[in-house]
Amino acid sequence: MIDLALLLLLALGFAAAAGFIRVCERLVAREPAPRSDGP
Amino acid sequence: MTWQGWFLIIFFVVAVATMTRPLGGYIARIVDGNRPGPRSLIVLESGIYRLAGVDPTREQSWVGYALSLLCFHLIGIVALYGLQRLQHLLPFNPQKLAAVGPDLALNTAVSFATNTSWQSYAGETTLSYLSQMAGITVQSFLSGATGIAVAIVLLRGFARVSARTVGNFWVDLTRITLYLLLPICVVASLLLVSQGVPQTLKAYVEATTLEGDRQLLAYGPVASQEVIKLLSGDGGGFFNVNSAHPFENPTALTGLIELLLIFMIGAALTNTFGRMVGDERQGWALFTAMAVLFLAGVTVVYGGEAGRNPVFSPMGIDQAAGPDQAGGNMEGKEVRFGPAQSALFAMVSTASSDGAVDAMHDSFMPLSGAVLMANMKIGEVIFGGPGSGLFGMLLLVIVAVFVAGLMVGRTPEYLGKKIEADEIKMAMLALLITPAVILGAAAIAVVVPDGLSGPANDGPHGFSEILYAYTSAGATNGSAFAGLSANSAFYNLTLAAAMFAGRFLVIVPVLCLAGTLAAKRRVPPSAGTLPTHGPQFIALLLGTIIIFGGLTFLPALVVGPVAEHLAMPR
Repeated sequence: MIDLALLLLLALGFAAAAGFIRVCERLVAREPAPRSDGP
Repeated sequence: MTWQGWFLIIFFVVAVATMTRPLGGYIARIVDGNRPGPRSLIVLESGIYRLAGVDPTREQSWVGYALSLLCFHLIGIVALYGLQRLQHLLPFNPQKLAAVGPDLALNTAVSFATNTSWQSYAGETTLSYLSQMAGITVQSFLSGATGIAVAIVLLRGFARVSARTVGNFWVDLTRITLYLLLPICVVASLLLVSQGVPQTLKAYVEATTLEGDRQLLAYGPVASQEVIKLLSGDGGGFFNVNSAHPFENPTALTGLIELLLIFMIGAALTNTFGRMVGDERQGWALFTAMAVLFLAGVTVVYGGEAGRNPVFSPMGIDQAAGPDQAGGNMEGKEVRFGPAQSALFAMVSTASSDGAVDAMHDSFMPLSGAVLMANMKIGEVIFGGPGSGLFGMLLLVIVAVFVAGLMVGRTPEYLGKKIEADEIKMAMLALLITPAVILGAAAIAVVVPDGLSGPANDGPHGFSEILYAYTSAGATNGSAFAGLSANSAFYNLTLAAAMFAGRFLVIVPVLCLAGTLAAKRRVPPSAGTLPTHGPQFIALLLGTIIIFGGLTFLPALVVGPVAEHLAMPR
């Protein structure tokens, strides 16, 4: 029983990491096109 | 300090520098698609792809690469967990060791799959030979190869122009394991065996001591695990006392070989970086910054350990160097290693992500302990573990060029790639996750009863023991300060969570950063381009590292080792 609970916890951790991929993807996708090249 | 001690340190640094260029070139050839191995390895590589259904010519986006990496390590952790839980039913268990408890098994599985190798167990009394060989050793190879692969992806990000793909995880993993890690391991394992490191599947032997007592001598397949533990940045020893054990590290020569194995790939990757971006000077600039930090750190640690421990002075203990003893603070150190080798090993082990030990860091002087913690806290960027050191250093480089850009009011760029909001977001995410994990977890541990029951000491030293444990886990180092009873459900689970977050939640933004960089066009250098291969940039980078590390971790270090230093008798 405890094995199942720990493996479920592990699966949740990986699901969170996979969700973090999506977060990063959105963070970079939201950025508008490069603006100024500066002086 | 003695001239012999400094000779050892300087010889080691020169040896690492000498190996950097040839090994860096070899790694560049491996990841570039060349097949430098013998025909048998090439056939094996093709066979693995066929068996796994991998098309080696098909590259992945950074998202595909990250998902492959996560799936692979999920399977690895479950496999290692199962192996430990069922080891009493499986072969190669001559000592008939029982199944590993669930929380310890999870901690160990996460530890080795994340390249941390934190060990809440004693290997020789906990794990069967099968768990050591098919579990620990295999994960050492695979987690080390993963770290190198992530670094290579980031290098491709800098090297490629307007690209949508960053490589193929399965191909990188296979090639790095087959052509880099395995050949070095075979040669170095044989060298260690020649020096007396055991490699056997026989049961432990019972010996009669000089006093006539009976003693069980543990041994086993040590040499094969020893080399990859050092080469991969894993650091998890076959024995509880790690590289202080005479079966893991029997001679002066094995001591030197082990030190070189820890640093060789991390250092070589700086040259691989230079080659991949078409300017080796860029790699040498990073190498120089790493070497400066290393020499500064080793000077403090060696100076601290070679000097007198003021706590021992009133006891009348002779701590002076002389013909019969190395002198210095010898508590927790092997007599045959002395302060110089112990200080060097501790520095190398914490500057990289390796975490192997040949002396007990808990017994180091407080400021030495602070340096060891600082090495890990800044991201183990001083040569670092295989891959993780270089990508950690490149994150700090991005911050440094961003700061430089702010100072002159120009869009920052590095190696012809403009560093814009996307890159800074990902670099900062990757850089801030580790401190958040370390400081957050340590803060919880110092207020809950389960956390407070762990350290063997009260006061600042007890705090250092807790802080070191979460630093080691969050930075995926794996070395132990010792003095902390970490084999409890609380520590096993919280340290596992810290290792998991410190590895995978850092890798994801690094891969994202690689993806955004690879997609960019290259900007030709102009009069306003900041040169990134000269002493000015190296100084800027060093300043960035010190300020970033200081702002993030100095308060915690003041509560622990600095307070302990100030409280020591004069």
